[in-house]
Amino acid sequence: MKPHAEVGQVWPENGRVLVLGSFHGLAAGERTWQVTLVLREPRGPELAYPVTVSGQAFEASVPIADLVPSEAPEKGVWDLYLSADGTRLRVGRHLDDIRDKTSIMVFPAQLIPLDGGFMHVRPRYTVNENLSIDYWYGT
Amino acid sequence: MRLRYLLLHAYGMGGTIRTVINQANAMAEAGHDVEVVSVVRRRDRPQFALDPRVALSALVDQRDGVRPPSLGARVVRKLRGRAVPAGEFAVDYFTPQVERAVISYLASLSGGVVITTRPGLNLLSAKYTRRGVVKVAQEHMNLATHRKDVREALLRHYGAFDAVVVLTETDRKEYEQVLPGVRVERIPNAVHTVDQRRSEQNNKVVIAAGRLVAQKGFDMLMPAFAEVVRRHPDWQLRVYGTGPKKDRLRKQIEKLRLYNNVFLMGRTEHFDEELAKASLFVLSSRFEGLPMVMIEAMSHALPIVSFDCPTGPADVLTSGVEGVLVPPGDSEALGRALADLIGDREGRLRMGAAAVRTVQAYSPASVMPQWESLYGELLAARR
Repeated sequence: MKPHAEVGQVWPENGRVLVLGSFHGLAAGERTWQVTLVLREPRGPELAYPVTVSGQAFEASVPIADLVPSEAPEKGVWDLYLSADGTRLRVGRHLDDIRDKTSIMVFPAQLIPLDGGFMHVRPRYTVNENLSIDYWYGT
Repeated sequence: MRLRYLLLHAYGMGGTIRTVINQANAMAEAGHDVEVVSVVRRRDRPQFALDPRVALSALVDQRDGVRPPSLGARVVRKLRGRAVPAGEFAVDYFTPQVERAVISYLASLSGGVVITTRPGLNLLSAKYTRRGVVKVAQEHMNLATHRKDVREALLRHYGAFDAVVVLTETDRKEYEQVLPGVRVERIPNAVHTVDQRRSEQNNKVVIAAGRLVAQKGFDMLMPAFAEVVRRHPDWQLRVYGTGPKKDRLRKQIEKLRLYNNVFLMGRTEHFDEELAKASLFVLSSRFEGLPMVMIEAMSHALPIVSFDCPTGPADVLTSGVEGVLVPPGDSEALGRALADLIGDREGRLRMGAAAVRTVQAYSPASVMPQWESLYGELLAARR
């Protein structure tokens, strides 16, 4: 299995998405890690936030208010990575025995009031069991 | 022996259908002449494997849908009333056409044994099967679970049976008390095998399973597991099954902040393997007949934590031996019992081993001969 950032818990609460997990297949070392969010479409926008690392464990927290870029104001998908000096690890959950996480490990959406409706922000697992964050405008 | 099993829908899914088909297969295997008669037929093929020596037939073919009753049939029903009480959970199946078909089938029989498998069919058999035929009623439900009209009809008519067979000792005592002079036997359902891979108590997983409906009480399990997570934050609850309460349960999971610990798994074709990987089984039902899934879990050496609901858990296991029973509906006690056992791996291993010993009584090898000797005795008594 490729080195990756294995998810333990996801807490979509209080205007943030908090991800707890551990480095897998690679020593976190003394490097300064960030959590990087990459917008899928249109490709281009990226966001980065500091990550707390202790041994192999990491704690990444993302403020959801930042997740609606002007390039795609209605809806979009951010893919999560941990990165440090040229290394980029996808954040996902691959080490357990639950398949089809996208319909089994389901997280609640957080709602931001906007123009009479709501921006919904919700972390979820992809079909490849990586972690992404969806946002979409709706009622 | 000539044995005829009458099932409402032998082509459907469900616990009763599965156990009756298993039983019919075992009787054919033992060399008896076995028929399964399905009152209605809504599918081309049965969902559970039927031994080729078992003859399968249907009384009313509904594969093209259910025909609305004719004016005449509706008038007759209005005048005579229903033969099956409105409180029978499957009453919708008993259209005038279906009732007529069942009655004329039962009235046409002579000799041998006819076994009916739910209250509506039992009542029709009590009234319409002729004297020369041995009549056996299988009751898969607790007396108190039946609605009032069904209970009254059953008290009035079950005296006609050569034997009424129930699933648990509690039920046997209850039915015997209200049906004086009737032979009431307890024969449990059998699991398909008790020779299963055993849990090694290595994974932090609790399993629950069943249709996502009110009866299964998963809404009471969620707050119980919230208590577990407070003490053991790295343990998971996996709930297998689908059903109408899924969205409601998902909301409860969100509200209790359990989305990192409680997972609605849906259906699986490998439930045996999932049980073998787990370390505990929890039953949160409001009521049961005889919870077969709990017995399956025990065959994998899983200790049980359960509400002491009617009926089943207390008939199968002794609290403190194969698991722990807590007062029905007491979520706090359920959570406490789970958390205590999670903290006690030795206890889980000991209870799991006891569970394997206890479920031997539910193996086909112990259950099927009980049926065979009951039918044999009843037939002999006729001669």
